[in-house]
Formats: sequence, structure tokens, C-alpha cells
Amino acid sequence: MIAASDQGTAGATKPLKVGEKFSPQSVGPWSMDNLRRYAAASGDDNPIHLDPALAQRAGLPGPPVHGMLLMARFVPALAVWRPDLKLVRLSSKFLRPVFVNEGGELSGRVAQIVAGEPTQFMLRLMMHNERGELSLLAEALTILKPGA
Amino acid sequence: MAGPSAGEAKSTTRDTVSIGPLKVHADPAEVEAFAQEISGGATEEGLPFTFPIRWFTHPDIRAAGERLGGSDPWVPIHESQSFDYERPLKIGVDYTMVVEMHREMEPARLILRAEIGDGAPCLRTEMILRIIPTSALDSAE
Repeated sequence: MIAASDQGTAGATKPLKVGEKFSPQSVGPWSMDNLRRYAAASGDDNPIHLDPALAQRAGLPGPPVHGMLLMARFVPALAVWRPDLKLVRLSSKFLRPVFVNEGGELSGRVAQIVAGEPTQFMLRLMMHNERGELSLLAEALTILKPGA
Repeated sequence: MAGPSAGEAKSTTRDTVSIGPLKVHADPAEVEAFAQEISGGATEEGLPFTFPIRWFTHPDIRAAGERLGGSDPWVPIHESQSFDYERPLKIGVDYTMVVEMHREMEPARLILRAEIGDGAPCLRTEMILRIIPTSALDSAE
């Protein structure tokens, strides 16, 4: 649901079309120090992200990067792709790990446009890890920013 | 970090617990630190979109998770997360957070649904955590 005060105005300078793709953006890599600092800033001190020995016991090559640290990267990426869009809803599934010292690539496309007041733009967003695996599969509901 | 608890976990069924209302707010210094770690500094106006994840670390929520997760040692693996805003949250403003936590047995999961608001809902958020027994990690060697 979207509050009336958040509604955008009709007509972006470059109208989005269903199927339009966004240019891939590289993110990371994230070091062990990055993971420790994110754990402190977010409160997520799950040892699987911070303890290389525990990750090894799980058969992993290293600690996986926090899923929420990865998911958060969609927000500035969207601002680069389409600064005229306001993010209202973001959901993500964490499918495959991005490991410490590994980077990723963000990509996305317009999945659906729902006409209305305001018009809603459903985006399908993805992050692949360096091994080419789909790490995050996300969906974003966006509207035009006021005045856009 | 979440402010002082204004509520406590209430068991609604054996596998579902209601928590709150909890008093939460975003301290400016915490917001700055969070923004720094997710994107190297403030790139968003106001509260970062995913900042409320921090409020899930409230001691009452952790305690409820430990109870529902079971007595054997386990670690949570994040399966999915959603944020659905009705209105933006503001830095330095007190909000209330109400959480319903549900334990699924097969597969073993905790599902947390939270509503954060100021009398009216601002954000609904859902977290799904897979429960992985530590013993399963050892057998993965």
C-alpha cells in the first residue's frame, strides 16, 4: 500500500518499458573486516559470517557474506539505474552464498508495469556471485518520485 | 539498536509467539555506521531502506528465537527477507514494533513477521530463517 503523499506524478523523462534491462553493476568484494564491521553496525553477529573455522566445518570455503549486506546493495544500484524511482517494497531470496573476498554483479529488468495512481513498476533484480551463480533473486515495487 | 523493551513475549501457541509492542528508534550515529557499512556512506535520504533489520536483534526477539529454535545448538541461515513500506521511517523517532514469530518443523524454520509504526503502520517486514543444527555443520566435513 502506498500513502497518497508518496505518489509520484505521471510521466518520467525516459518512460520505462516492460523488459527493459539495467546495466550490470559490480559490487564488493567484501573482506573479513567488512563482515565484522557490518555485524557491528547491523547487530547480526551470526557466527557463520564471522567464524572461518565454523564455515570450514560446514564445508564452505569461507564465511558467507551477510545476505542483508548484499540485499542492501540493490538500493543504491536502483538509484543509479533510475534516480526517478522511489522504492516502496523490496523482497529477496538468498539462494547461493557470496563468500568473503568475493564480489558480485547486480542486474535487473522491468518485469511489470501496473497502471494506476500511482503507476507501479515491478522490477526483477538479481545478484550473481563470481562463480556465475544466482545468489539473490529480488523483486522491487517502485513508483515515480514526486516531480519525476 | 532498539530502545528499552516496552513489552514481552507472549506465547500464543506452542509454535507461535507474539512479541511486543517493543519501542524502537534509529539513533543518528547508528544510522551513519550502518550506511557506511552497506554502501560506504549515506546514499539514501533518511533512514536506509534495510536499517530496520537491526531491530530484529532486540533481546526479546532473540530470546524468543532461542526458545522456538530448540535446545540443540543451531545457527540461523537467512532464506528470505522483505520490506514493505507504507510510509518512510524517520531517524530519531520512536516507533513501536510488534513481531509474530512462528516455528515450522519440516523444514526447520523460523518465520518472523513484524509491523513497525507510530500508531499506524509504516513498515511490514518478514524474515525467514532456516534452522541448521550445529551438528549438521560438523557432518558436512
